[in-house]
Amino acid sequence: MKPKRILVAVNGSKADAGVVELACDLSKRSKADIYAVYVVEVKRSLPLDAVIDSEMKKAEDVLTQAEEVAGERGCELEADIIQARDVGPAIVEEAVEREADLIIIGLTQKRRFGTFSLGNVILHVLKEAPCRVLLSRESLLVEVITA
Amino acid sequence: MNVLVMGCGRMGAQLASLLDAEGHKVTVLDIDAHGFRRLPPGFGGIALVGDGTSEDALKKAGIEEADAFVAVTQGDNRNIMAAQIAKHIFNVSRVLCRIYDPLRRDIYEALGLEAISPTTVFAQIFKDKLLSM
Amino acid sequence: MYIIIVGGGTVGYYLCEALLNEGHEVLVLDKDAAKCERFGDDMGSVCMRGDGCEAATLAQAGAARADVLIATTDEDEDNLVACQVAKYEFGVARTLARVNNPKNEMIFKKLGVDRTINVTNLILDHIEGDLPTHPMVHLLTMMEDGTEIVEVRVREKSTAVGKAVKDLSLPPDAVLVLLIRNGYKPQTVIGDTVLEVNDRIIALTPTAAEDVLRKELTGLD
Repeated sequence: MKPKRILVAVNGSKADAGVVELACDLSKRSKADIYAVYVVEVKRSLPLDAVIDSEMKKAEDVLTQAEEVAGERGCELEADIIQARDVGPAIVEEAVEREADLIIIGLTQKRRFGTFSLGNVILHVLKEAPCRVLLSRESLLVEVITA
Repeated sequence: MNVLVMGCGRMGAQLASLLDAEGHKVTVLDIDAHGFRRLPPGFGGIALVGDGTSEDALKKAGIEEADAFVAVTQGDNRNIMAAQIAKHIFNVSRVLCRIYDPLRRDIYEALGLEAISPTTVFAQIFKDKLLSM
Repeated sequence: MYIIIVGGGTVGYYLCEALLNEGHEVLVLDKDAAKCERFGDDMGSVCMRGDGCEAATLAQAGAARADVLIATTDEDEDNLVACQVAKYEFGVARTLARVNNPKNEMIFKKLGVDRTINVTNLILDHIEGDLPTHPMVHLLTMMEDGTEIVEVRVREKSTAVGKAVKDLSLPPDAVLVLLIRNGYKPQTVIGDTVLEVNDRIIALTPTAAEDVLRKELTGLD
């Protein structure tokens, strides 16, 4: 795999660090650019361009964290915040716009209503992304230790 | 009292037969004649096939002479629409309707429609029963 | 403008597409997951799954900041309730409802829906417009107060032929405005205007008095 432009989707979950590390490792050989995006999901009760301070703060923190993780691995990334109604389509659109050839997305073990679930975001990206998609699932051990 | 009941489900049929037994003049309206099987054999009222959200069908069912109108079909919106037609178009003096969705019931109560939500009523009854055991 | 469309059927679909092209913010509400998915595939995040008659769904849809709500389902009662909840619970300024039974148009207006669209009547209007020999043609309906502008052709059978306008028994609120007669310039109608066969009259009439006016001028029931 020799990606040239990697899009990393971060969302503030425990999976973020692992996803950024993976992107850094994969970028080295092909000197790929890395874009880290955080999607702020804007409720319909607000206009799409509404400035939500709490969400902005969270987005900035998450992206700063991602930059730090990348820095520790000796690589750089370009960070971006997007506002959208739905996260999945926003990630796909961003990948198209940036002409990414690889999307890396993380999954923390999800047990919604007691059953395993991928969630709408990942399903949408897997279904609609024009490029290759890597899904990184967190080790169960991490869950156990932190829980 | 002259009562027009819209919807001949379990609730509508039961209500119609109670009123009939007490000597009231009852007309039951349903879009499907199949519902009328629920009326008791000795039912003395009138059963009519027709759409209660249609002005014409309501006229045929004698809404202009009715003292009361009750909307108890399975559809909240059908009941709401028919009840409003009865109240605002035909000026029936007593109009009552069933709205399962509690939120929707509150909205239409605020708009002046007399409505009962079985959801709220039964949840309350069950809770009281449970806690009194 | 922010426009909410209730119902993602054919009408809702093409309406959404057209309104998006005009640059509006649009959200479609539909109970059916498959229909919503179709919107997502074709137009992006413009459809939310949910019952547009439910206050909870409308709150989530941001109805409180919507400028217009259009109810397009094929059930009249659902369209009525969606419009009423939007208007009375969320203060949406303009509500429009598709009406399937033409008789419901007046009822909906009486119950607070700002505007109704009835396909049957629309088609009828076009048929009338396409037939120049039709004795009465609807030119314009001013929905707000139930007044219509119509064109009526005076026919042989009419008792109005040869009579002055002031002697006709017209409905009290109907006004004959303009007379168009072959070979003459259009002229304003006055009390002394005497009607002839094939005169075309542009008149203003309350919808309710339309039939009386037609009968008087055309002799047709």
